[in-house]
Amino acid sequence: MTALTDLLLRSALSRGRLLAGVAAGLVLIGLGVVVLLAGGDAGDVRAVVRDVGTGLLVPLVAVVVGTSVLGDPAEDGTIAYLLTTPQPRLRIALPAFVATAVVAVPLTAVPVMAVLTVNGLPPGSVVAAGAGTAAAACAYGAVFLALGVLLRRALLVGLLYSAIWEGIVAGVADGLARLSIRAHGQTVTTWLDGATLTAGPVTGPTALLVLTGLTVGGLLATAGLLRRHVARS
Amino acid sequence: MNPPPAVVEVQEVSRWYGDVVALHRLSVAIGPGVTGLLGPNGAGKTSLIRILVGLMPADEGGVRILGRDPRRDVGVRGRIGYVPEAQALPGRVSAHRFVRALAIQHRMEDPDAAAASSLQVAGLDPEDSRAVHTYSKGMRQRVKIAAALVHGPAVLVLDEPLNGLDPQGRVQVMTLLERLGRMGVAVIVSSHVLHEVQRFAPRVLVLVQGRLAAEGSPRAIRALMDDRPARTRIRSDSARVLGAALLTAGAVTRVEVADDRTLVVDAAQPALLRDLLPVVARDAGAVLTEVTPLDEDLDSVFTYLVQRGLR
Repeated sequence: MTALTDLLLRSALSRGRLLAGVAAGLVLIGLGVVVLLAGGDAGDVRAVVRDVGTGLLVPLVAVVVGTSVLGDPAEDGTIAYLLTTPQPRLRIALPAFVATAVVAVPLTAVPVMAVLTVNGLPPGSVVAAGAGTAAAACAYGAVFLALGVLLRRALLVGLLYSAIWEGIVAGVADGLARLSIRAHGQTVTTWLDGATLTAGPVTGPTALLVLTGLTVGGLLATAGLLRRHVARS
Repeated sequence: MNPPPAVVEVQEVSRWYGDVVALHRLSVAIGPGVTGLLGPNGAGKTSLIRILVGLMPADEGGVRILGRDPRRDVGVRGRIGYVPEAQALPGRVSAHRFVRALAIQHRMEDPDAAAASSLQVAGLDPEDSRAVHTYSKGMRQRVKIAAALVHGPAVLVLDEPLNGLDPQGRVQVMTLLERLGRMGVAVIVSSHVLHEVQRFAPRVLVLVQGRLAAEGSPRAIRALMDDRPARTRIRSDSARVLGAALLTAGAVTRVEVADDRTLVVDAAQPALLRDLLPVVARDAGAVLTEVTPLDEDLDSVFTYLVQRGLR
């Protein structure tokens, strides 16, 4: 981990945020245990992971971490210390993304994998779900990273986006799901699992490509926004 | 002797926020040594500083630092050190970890040594492992200065660096800035307190309402201030007699008797009033108990200067 990633990570990751992230993961695991105790089948477990894990936990954790890694420094002015160095802005955006991913991926993928493991799903399915969750967390993280530089109230906007677009609008039709990070994350999981329980709007490889594109795009957008950033009063 | 080459060139720079003009066609050249940037709140000092370090574009005009545009040319930012006015610092890290991370960003060969050295220069213990958020305001100010110095900048821009420092800290920072100036660093220090700046800045730029109201040595700026009309409250056991005597002597242009022991006088030349008052009071048999300038605040001084400049 670079010194800048470490610095951004320590600055963004307050004890409160970390505990909230861990608590949200524990809630997901708790739901998994409830499914187990209620005698639910693999389909029930996958539904919990899909709706609460990929659908809620991943965007929630990613928006809190992603918008704060550079959003907080932009807001309190400490971003000036980074922007007055001679580094290309991508060399600031990349460590910031790593800081986001280092937090968001474990806080989301681990609970998802734990739920599936507790319920006795095969290791292949567990790893597939972990990978799909990680890919979605990275895409969300990169997008929210850029949002944190762009907007003052990025957290609020990110939460509204997650709740309204990802949570409601994207579920209305397959066409709209093509524009949903959540749907692509679920498609990657399904594809890697080799199962066809949830038919996604696009093929698995395409979904992975879209998530990769969003991650890279978010990263480049962050660098571009840093280049044009104007100190806030 | 030729004047030192301009390290910082500000050419016709304007900047506005909506309808509010922060800087208006400002042009100035700054060479090595300490330059004080003086002005009341809202004069445009912070806007100018942010433009100088590349954190804000000028709406019109341009800035060159060592011949390069700090907004477009990221490389030249490696030659600039910046101490922002904002007190915020990354809180949950030690000062050394913070400054070291910046040293790495500045591509220093030995970031550990660079961080330790700049912390020491700023008067902090490099071994102190406490998180920065536990520091006092004065110590945070020193961390900011260490961060700005870690890469040995050719241009050091400080926005109100003496804020929050105790008297001893102020002296230390002023001495440090003076030393850096002597070493050939172009040090630009903003402040709204002339008597502080005049202790270490041989040249002062006075900014008012986004315009350059005056520039020169602190002594020259002080003289300009002394030349302006000023209102003074005088308390004496014989206020009426003293008021009449001051008018007769030509030391004041207007006298208002507030009560039996208090006068408020207007003087066109405060320096003349200062010289004549003790003599006039003695001759009139009046005992002075208080002499208080009523509009010595910088806003009124600066406003006078800019109005004078606009005439």
